[in-house]
Amino acid sequence: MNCGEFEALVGDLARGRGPEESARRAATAHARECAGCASRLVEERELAGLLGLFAAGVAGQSAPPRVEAALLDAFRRRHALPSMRRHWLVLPRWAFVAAAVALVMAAALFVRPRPIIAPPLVAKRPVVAPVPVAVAAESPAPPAAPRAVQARRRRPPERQVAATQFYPLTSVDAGARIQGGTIVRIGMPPRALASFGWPLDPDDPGGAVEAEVVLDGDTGMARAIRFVGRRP
Amino acid sequence: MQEEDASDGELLERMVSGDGEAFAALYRRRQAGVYRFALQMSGSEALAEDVVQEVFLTLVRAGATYDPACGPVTAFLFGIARNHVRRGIGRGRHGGAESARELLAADQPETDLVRRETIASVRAAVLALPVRYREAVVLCDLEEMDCREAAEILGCAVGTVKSRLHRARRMLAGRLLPAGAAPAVSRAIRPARCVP
Repeated sequence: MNCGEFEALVGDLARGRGPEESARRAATAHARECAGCASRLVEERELAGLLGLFAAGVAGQSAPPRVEAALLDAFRRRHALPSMRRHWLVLPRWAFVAAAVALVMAAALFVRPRPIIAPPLVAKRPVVAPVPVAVAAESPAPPAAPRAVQARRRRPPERQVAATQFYPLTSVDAGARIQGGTIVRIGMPPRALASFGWPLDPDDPGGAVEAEVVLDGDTGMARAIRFVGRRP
Repeated sequence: MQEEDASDGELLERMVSGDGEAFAALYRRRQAGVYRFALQMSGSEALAEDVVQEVFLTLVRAGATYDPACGPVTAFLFGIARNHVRRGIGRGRHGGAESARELLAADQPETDLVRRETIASVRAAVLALPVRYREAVVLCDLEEMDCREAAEILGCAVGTVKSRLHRARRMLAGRLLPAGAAPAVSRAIRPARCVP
């Protein structure tokens, strides 16, 4: 063994580990013959002793208990999260469906035209038979006016007009009630009143007669009409 | 399975699946080594405590990323610790010789003055080493790991660890041993070339 080979082994040799027995014997024999390598072995043993002293000084040291407590707490919190996450992942699947259904239902309620609860229409006479006009202003007030009527009453004065009652326009299913429908407001020439049996006024200033027509919600046919005023 | 009989890898596997007892067992088994490594590398108890906390917090968060093919669990833990220690030292969080002396005096009041002074000198000499040499000394000479284990932790070749260790020991001998011995020997030895 030469000095270079000895130097590669001297660290482990001084600490009693590493080289095989044959290498250890060869290194020891070389140190006996080489003063420099012998000195190097002594030096390395001293250094190993000092480092061992230092290592022994801190051998029993460890992290304070509060670190363990904090880490165990962090671990518990960490592993409590996945179960919550699972619930969050499952919930939306049906929650979104329920929310979507609720939205569609709400949209259908708000967007759909409000059904008109028309008064019962009973045809007691032919359609074109003249019917005495009952002016709303002269007739007794209904006990509970519908909201639509109340809103109409709040309209500006020029829009407030006297309305007649509804007159049926057909005798087909005359005894049946209209389950739903739409009221449309139309303008018609005064002479059209004649077809309803109304007398024509020769001094009529012209313009249009405003009327509201009830359209059957199922068939779309006009089922009743009332006259609400004049249009200049 | 009892925690005492389980390997680090088994404990980690159970820990990842939410077993708190396995985590506690792994912590109690490995925390002291990590703490000492950080303390010997930095000389700071506060940093060592922080490093332990960070290492095991990382294990809690990213334990599932551990790959046994890349080395043992200890290498995984010390590798994380090494990164945190380097970061802490880089930010100036390290204790000097004075803090080492106070630490020893506080922990071992029965230790005689000469012994305490010697240990403080060794500690100061270790702390004065460049970090890459200090790591080799702390792992191999203080924690008594072999070069292969140290190489796994440091992420380098075994030969590199041996080279750094040799160089570090030479530096320590120059600081700690009587002036006569080390220079005479060092003239006869060509220092190993270490790659940082």
